[in-house]
Amino acid sequence: MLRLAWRLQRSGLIGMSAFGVFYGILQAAAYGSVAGATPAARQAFGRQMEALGRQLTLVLPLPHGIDSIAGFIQWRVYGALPALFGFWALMSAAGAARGDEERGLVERCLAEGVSRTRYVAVRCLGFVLACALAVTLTSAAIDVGAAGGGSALPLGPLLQVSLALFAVTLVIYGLTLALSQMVSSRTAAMGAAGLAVGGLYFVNGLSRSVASLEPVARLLSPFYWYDRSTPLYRGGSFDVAGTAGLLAVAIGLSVLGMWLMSVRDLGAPAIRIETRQRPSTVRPSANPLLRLPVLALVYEQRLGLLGWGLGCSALALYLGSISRQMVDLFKQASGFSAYLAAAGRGDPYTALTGFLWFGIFQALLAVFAITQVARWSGDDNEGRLETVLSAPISRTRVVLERALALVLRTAILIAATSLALALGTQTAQIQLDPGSLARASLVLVPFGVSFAAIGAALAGRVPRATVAVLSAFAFGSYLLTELGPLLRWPAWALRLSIFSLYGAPLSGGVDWTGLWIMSAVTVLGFAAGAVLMQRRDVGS
Amino acid sequence: MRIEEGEVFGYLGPNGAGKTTTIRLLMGLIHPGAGSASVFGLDCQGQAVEVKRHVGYVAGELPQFGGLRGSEIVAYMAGLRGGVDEKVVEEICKRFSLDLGQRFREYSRGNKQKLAILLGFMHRPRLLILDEPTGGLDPLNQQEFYDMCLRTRERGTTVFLSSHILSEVERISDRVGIIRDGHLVRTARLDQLHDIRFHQVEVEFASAVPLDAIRAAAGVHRVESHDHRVRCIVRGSFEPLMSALAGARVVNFSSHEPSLEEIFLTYYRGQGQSAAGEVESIVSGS
Repeated sequence: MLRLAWRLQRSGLIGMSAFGVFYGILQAAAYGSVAGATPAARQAFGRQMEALGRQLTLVLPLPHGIDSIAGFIQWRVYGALPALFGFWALMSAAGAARGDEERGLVERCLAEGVSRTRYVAVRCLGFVLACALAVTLTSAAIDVGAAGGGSALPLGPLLQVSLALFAVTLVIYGLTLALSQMVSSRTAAMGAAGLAVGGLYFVNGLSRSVASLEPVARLLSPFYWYDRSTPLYRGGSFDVAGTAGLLAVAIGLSVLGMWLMSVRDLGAPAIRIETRQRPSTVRPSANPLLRLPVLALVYEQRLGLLGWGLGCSALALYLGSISRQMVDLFKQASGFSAYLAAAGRGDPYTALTGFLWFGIFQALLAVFAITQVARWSGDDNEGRLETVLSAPISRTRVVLERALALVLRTAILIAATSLALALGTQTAQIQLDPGSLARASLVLVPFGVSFAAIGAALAGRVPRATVAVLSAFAFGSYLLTELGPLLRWPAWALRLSIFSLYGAPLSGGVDWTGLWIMSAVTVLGFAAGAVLMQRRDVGS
Repeated sequence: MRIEEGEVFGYLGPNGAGKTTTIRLLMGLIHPGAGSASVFGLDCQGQAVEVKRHVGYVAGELPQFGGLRGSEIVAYMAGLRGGVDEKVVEEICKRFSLDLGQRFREYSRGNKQKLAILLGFMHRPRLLILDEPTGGLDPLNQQEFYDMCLRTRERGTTVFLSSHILSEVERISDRVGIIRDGHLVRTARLDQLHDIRFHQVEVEFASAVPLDAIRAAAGVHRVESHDHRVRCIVRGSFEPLMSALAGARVVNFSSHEPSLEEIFLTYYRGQGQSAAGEVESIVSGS
């Protein structure tokens, strides 16, 4: 059983370790070249980073002591890794709890006499081992990168921060495992856990700048307790109780997941909500949306879109409502003019609100695009594409309909969140210009769709590997925007990242070059997708 | 291989022989390494969209439609075809007692198969391509399916039925093709198929075994005797064997029709692959 669990975990382990090792080595190795060699240069760099870090508190902890490589690694690398490892844990747990069931693996194992508890326990153990290995490899790579730059990290604190990372990853796994028992499909499990984990992550992120949220984060968010361990900072400490608490919560949640699994029916949620029984029918649905192929694709994913819309809108509304408070905080920072220069021209409140929100929303849209592309891969693997192609429609039309449906879904999501942002900022007495907000929102459509267009090209060629490759591309693209300025790469190199092509349209006007590039990527991606789709065998 | 319009063609072969591959080629889902296939004179690769206007397809693997209701799936697929006659949908649903109000994931294996059959038949195609269509159906619904196929043929529809169940193919086919290891080894009318069929027979006697008479009986092969039991293989009619048993005190008689795969292993073992495996033309143009 453990061998099976390990085998099922293998591709995730390889992918996550590769991500971790690449990210760790790159960041550690980058420090030497960007921070300078002299103590004075490193202090100056540290001050710059601390100023910069204040605008990133939603996604990274507040920085301290960045004038040493250990401090930089603590903030920049171990600050970001929980999100990456958490994403992996979420996908793994949803797959173990619901994906295995959907493919009949659980039924097969239970028929062989394996108990439910043992099945879940072994799957958990498989992840624990994989996670331990991935964390170890990542930390080793970080140390190698740092040593390559001439400053090896202290081993004890490195082990401590790795243990904290291991613990918070297991909490996400346990939480997803437990939540997955409350729904009936893998997709729903990922959605529910994504909302929960995303919520906990952002509550903690916001609590770094909004003091009133700290008690909430302290009570609910595992990321809060992870943040308390900062052994690599000068004068930092390892929160033994906090990390032990995380491990205890992880065990508790996993046991809860096991128990819920043992009391529920296979294929059913642990708590059944009686729904109104639909009367029997022998007639096709009269819903007109289903008869229009593009709208049918939107309708089919209405619940997912609703979830995304509500989640993103709530975040936009909240962020908009506290934007004045956040901008006032930034104003006190020493490098405020530098943020403002990056954010764009005009009213600083408008500029920084747009800079912060659209920065976050770009990342969310990239994830949204990846989930849509995952659906296309699923169409192939789960036989839906074969069924659709049994109708008299061409493969090119399939690609076009997917593209149009995606544009529509993306536009709906953007419209909802922009409206929420406008409402939120209004409550904070920040007036966003409706025209500028509309322009900034419209430019997001080609941004999101261009990611999916690359996915369409990949899905036309390698449908089974599409999600992994596209995720790696999105991550690499994001990394480029993060590392490029640090490494002082030329502007053209930064433009290779789709994230940098968006610009700051809310305050700085539309970046027409970026817009054209994104539009070209969109057209070329879908065109390549259509051509490759023609050539390949369905289901291969 | 050529199939005439209006006939029911059974396509037989053991697992992994290449039945589904042939079908996926005809549907334009995969590309041939060499050769070509056409339906009603239309090239299956270059004119795939036009081909599928005339074809109803039941795939071997059930697609997964998650939380969509049966009625929604039918409406969506009907929309892709530009609409279907709802009376046909109703008729098929009633025939199979299929409730379209349920979500796909709530359907049993059999009901999912019924839905797949509905999607293949609902637009009254000129050609039905069916890849092991009765998997998961109970005997009553299998019977309904066979009746529906025969009625469809009466309307002039051509049926290409892939199966590994010999009795199923026998029941509704006019002609059969047998594929093995990717090669078409035989095409024949149904009555010509009997020469490859055999039964495994076991007879238990209360007293002496008429072994010589059994061995001498026409069509009886591989006779093995142990105590008061005889095992043998019977090809063709049972009459010679029954004559040989006349007068003996038989206490038990069992006959078992081997699986198609067993037939292949017995009949085709060592034989050359006599027919070319190319799928040149499946249904003649009209």
